[in-house]
Amino acid sequence: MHKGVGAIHYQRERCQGCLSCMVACAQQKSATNDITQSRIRILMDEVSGAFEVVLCLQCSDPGCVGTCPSGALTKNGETGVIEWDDRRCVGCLLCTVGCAYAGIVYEAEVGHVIKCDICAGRPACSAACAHNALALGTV
Amino acid sequence: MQESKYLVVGSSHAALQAIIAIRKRDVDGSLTVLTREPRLPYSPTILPYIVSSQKQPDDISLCDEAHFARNNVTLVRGTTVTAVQPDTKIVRTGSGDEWRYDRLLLATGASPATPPIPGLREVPFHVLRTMNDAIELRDALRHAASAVVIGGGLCAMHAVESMAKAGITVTVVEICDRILRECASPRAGEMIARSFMAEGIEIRTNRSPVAVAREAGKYVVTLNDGATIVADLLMVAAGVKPVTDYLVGSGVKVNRGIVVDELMRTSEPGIWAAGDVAETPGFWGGGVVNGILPGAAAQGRTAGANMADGNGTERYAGAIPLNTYHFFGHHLISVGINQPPSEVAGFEIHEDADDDGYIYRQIMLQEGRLVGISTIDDVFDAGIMKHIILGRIDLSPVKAAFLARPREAGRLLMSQMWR
Repeated sequence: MHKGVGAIHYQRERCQGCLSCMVACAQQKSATNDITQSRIRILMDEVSGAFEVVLCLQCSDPGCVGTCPSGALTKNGETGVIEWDDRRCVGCLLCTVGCAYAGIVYEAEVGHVIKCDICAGRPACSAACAHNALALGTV
Repeated sequence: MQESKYLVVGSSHAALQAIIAIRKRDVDGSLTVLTREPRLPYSPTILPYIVSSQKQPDDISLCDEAHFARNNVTLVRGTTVTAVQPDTKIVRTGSGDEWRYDRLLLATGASPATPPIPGLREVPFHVLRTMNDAIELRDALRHAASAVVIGGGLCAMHAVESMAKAGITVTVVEICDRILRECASPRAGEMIARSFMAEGIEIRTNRSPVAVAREAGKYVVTLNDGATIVADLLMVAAGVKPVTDYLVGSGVKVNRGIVVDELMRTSEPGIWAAGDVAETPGFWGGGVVNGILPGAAAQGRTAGANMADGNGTERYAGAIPLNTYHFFGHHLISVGINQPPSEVAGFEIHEDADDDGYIYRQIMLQEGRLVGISTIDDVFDAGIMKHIILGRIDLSPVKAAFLARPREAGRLLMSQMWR
């Protein structure tokens, strides 16, 4: 069975909400400073002031893979990353039904789904975080 | 006589998810998949993309032979199951083989329903359920100038779009008052219908065909209002019915589909069912033949887990509608119900449509809880909304934020729920 490795681990107590991770991700993945293109999203609960993260968890038993009708999503048994193949994707968005975490989401700007791929083991978000709130971990 | 501890009949989403769930719990119990399909597993949902030639039949397999080998699963293709004997735990196939099982999963899917229209059974017509159907329809589009499509559901409208894009003049005949009832509210359905009509497609609702004939190489479809439609191509997409013919006399209880409980158990010990063939408990009660991909995957997972464990820890939350639909560059997403049942009070409907900008959003609440959300070109995270519905999350404390920005509010709720 699949190994549950490869997800980026978020340490809430260290996060300052600076959004450097989102800028770094958007630059890395979409060559833009537009943070809507970031695969990692830091949210703030305006009532409590607490930060929350929305990110692909690279699940060991991924719902998105199970609801993809075109075989465009696969769990890499070596790296643990759930890989999206744009050549196979038909844009049906059923993967977004299968994911309970908004780890794979449709972005109208680019016209397809986007998700975290941990930047081949060197995540830009983690490198950009001055507070060490993001690190590759095992789930 | 061949034997397999786990015997799975069918090879689409429910079956494939069941295999994964079984292997997670039992790595070496013998596991065999019997499928009528000669091809590698594929999804019926992909077929419209074959018809449109956007994808080729060999490009969209859900997995390959290596996947089965890796999971120590024997895949037997091109085999139809003809009988099940629960007392002796034997399955018989069309080629005369017998398989003895300890635990059996029936994931035989559905096949197109043929409406009782006089003359229909006497003529050839297109349907869209298998890869062969898709290839035949794709090839037929190259030679047709006109088409009539009976049915106005998702399968029909997907095919209609491909036909129109191939330059074919299309007429849709829908017996109900609107197309896409299963996934669109009346207002959303109207907006979608307008998109199709703008492309020159004719949609005749509240009409039913009363006769079908073939004259001089053309189809002649007569409607109940006396009108006739003449076309080169006829497609029937008037719903599907679960494939259960092999269960006659088996004792396995079949209503509209194979009746299962929340553990996906059928009425017979040692037999589970999942996917489009199953009639499962509905989230809001009753028995539901859901016939949608995410439901099939969830049911397969549940069935597989319970087949391997037997301790009943994995329970199916109950069927709710879950649909995504892409048409002429627009996205409809619909989770939960899109119209309140007429006999039930207490629904709160927030509908917001911009006809010119082509944006639509409907959020339906009942006693502060989400029961349905659907949008056109206002994409939200369907999986999160599904969990908000299934978890019966009280949205009262965040109602204003949720109604104003459901996607952001949903993400915040999810993140807090799963922390």
